[in-house]
Amino acid sequence: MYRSALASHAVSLCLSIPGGLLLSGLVGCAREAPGAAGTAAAQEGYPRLIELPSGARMLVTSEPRRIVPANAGALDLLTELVGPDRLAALPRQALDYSVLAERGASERAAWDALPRFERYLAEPLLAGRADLVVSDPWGALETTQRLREVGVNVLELPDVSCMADVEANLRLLGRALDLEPRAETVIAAWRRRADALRARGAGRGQRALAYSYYGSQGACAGSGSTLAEVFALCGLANAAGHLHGHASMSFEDLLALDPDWIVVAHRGEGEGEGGTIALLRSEPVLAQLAAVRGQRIVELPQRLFASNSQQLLEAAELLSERLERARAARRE
Amino acid sequence: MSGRSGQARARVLTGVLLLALLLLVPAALVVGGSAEIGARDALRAVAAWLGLADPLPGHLQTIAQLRLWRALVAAAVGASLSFSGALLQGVFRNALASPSVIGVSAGASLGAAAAIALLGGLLPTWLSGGLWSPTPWLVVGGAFAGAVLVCMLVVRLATVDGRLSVPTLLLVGIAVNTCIAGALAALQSLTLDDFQIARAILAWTFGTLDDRSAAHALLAVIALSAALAVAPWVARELDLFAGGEQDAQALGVHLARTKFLALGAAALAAAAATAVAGQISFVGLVVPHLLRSVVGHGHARLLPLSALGGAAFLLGADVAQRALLGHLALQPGILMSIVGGPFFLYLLWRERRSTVAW
Amino acid sequence: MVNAAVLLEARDVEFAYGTGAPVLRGLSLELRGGRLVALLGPNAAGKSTLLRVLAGSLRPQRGAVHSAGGALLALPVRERARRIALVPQALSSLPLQTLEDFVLGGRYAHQAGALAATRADREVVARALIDCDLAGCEHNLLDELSGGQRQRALLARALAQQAGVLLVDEPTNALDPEHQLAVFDLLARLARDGRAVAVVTHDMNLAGQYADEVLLLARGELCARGAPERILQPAQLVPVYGSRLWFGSFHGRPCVLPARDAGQAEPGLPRSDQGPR
Repeated sequence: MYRSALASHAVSLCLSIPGGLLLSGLVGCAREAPGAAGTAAAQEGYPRLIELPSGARMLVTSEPRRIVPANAGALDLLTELVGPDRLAALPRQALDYSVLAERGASERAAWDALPRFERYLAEPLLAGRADLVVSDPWGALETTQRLREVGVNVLELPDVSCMADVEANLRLLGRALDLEPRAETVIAAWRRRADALRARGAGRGQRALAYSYYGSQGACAGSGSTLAEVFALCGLANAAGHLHGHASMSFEDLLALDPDWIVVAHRGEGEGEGGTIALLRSEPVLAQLAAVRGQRIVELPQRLFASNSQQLLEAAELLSERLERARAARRE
Repeated sequence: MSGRSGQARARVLTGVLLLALLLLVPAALVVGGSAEIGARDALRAVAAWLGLADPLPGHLQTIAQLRLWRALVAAAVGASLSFSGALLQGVFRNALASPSVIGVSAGASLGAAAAIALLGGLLPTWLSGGLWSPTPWLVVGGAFAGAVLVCMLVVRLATVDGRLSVPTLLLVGIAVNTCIAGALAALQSLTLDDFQIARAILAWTFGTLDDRSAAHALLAVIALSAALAVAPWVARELDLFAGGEQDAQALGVHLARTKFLALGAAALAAAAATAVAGQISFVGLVVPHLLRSVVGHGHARLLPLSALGGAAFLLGADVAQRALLGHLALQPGILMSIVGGPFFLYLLWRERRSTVAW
Repeated sequence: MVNAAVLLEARDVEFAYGTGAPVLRGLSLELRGGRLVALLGPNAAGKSTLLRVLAGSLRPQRGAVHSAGGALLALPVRERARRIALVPQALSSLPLQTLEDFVLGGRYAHQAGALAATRADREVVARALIDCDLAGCEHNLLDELSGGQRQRALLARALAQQAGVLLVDEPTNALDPEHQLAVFDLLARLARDGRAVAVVTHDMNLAGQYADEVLLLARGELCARGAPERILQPAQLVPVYGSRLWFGSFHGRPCVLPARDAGQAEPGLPRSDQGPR
């Protein structure tokens, strides 16, 4: 057997089985080219052409009735606009990190009954017959691509760093769902809460730092982060305002900044005291920090510490309350 | 074992592996938690894809197709990595050489990431334009360039006077892998400010078999066949490499051409595999090694069987993983490292004892 | 015999490994068809290097090797292997192959584009195995063979190359006396058939008994060449090897042995056809 003959055998064998499958499939695909939802009766307000922040456009052909949020933030926004009946599925842990986390059982029941999926993958979303997926820019690109290829709309809500961004995202979602007036009503309510927080000024004149320790390295929330927005809503100055975004922070930096308040994430009930707050209380080097000496360390639940939705307001309200209570306790 | 019995075993093994692949592809369509697709539906989905039957209702047809792409990508990637490993082991005359160990996969990663950064993340995914746009070819080209550079570096550093130093080979692999991991991290942090690039690189470096497209599968298959086409021109030559490069040359082997072809094919296969599914370690180490113990050292048998065996191995591992551990959603790269790491240690231990000398 | 064709010729060859001191210093020689040439010399004289330069495996820094009138290194490597077969002392690693597959490696240069051995190839291999007294071991793996068998396997593979020039590096190292003689018998027969055979060896007596010509190498230079009777003499060998040698003759052939007390040997040592006692 000669080389060239063998090589051509190998290539043709290799290309013919899967390659043939692929090519004939591509041809088959081109032949079918289904017009997405061609038979659906025209609904009022649909089809809608949504202008996306990226400049691209998204065509929503009919009213989405099987919406799937890909993360807790998307779920938060959806709870303001639609009921659980309009949703098809939830990410497994989304409820516990959403605004619904601490609501009463009766309010959560209908949401709890929704099917769950493990990860952002095309297969479970398609199996759940999703018609609109509300995702974020960091969701798996290939998954988003596969969903769009088969005609499932994926709305990627841009990253959030302040309430204005959250409002913009809600408006975008409102446009996609033909619920603009409802979105405006919600936004007005949010603004009233924000205004009340600012008027309350629980942290006025004080400097705060959001700090996390990961076992080997510390990090803080600089300007442009959601926690910076929470501080602003409480009237607190961000001690790490000179840093940008999620920035690393050494003990030395921490001592130099010496903030009035340190805000840390609470690890959750029943998990004992550990992580960041344990470090702050036990590390001798940090004992001289004003916030440690004055016991001005505030814990926020993990879901509020890392939120990117209207939970920012909830975080600011909780923080304001803690600040006031701590101040009152000291006065006594 | 004698050449004859090796040949007989190779025939049997070829049959077994082909049968395994024939069974694994439909199995890959059936396993998976989200949607129930029975064996009959799986066959109908494939028939429908070929235009021979009506598609399955609703999204089931799409789901079946997604599983089919995943299976094809797994098979092509497994075949590529294993074939690449067999070539590298032949050129370096050592069972410890493989795309991941000597850093070829890492070089491909860095090359692809650099290509994506240079392209500026123009597209949401590098394959969204299909194979008719230049982007996938530039990304695979970048991966190929990275893989080839690593190959050249390893050849340059690990061969002394036509002889290969195994400790040097492994040390060079460690150094290359470390350097490239650092460079990749640096590239990621440098591009973090440019959202489009950062997300494109991030999406790509988390290599996975999830949600692959027809374009992924086709790209992997095309690169694999191009690499396989080289096999007849290096199989006999690599056999003669066994006695050392100078000995091969004295027998009439064109050293430079053989190394060029073999390393080029190894780099291409590893690069395409890395480009479509990220870094998957140890397939290229384990499969050729196991096959060698069955069919002997002749590359005419070993090279094609490595491709076949690698396909069955990675596809089988993926199907088994999804059937048994679906809820854990282990990435194939992680699974392979768990299996391959100890195997590598075993090889090292054996290598330590054996003194292969004339 | 003297007029036999020159099959391989080295002209003024100088070679050094890397930037080290030259191993071969301006060396010239020619190998003629029909002649068995023995290359003698102490360790590090450059004998093995010379063979590799002659085979085209190493490129000399100066001078050139010519094969049938043309520069050897200008030939395609496959053509070189059809003209010249090199039998190394040992390989840098042991191929895990059967003996037959290993010896088939010698047919590579003749198999243009073919992947599998033809019937003719197998016949050549079978012949070579018989010549090297290895018939019956075809299906043994190399690592199942004894050291002597492996050495003969290397020779068999070179025979399978069917080259006009055979360059052999210390072929009798691991062999018992009977096989030593068998190998030299074979080499002599190959030379008689018209090949040019060059053997590097430390065995001056085998060289003396079989070689048509002896080349004496020291420090990369050719210090003497000629018929064995002329070279295997104290005047030639003592300056190169030192004086601890015993000289005699055996059936009219010169005979040289390492001898512990030869340094004090009185001149005019009786020449005995029985050798030393």
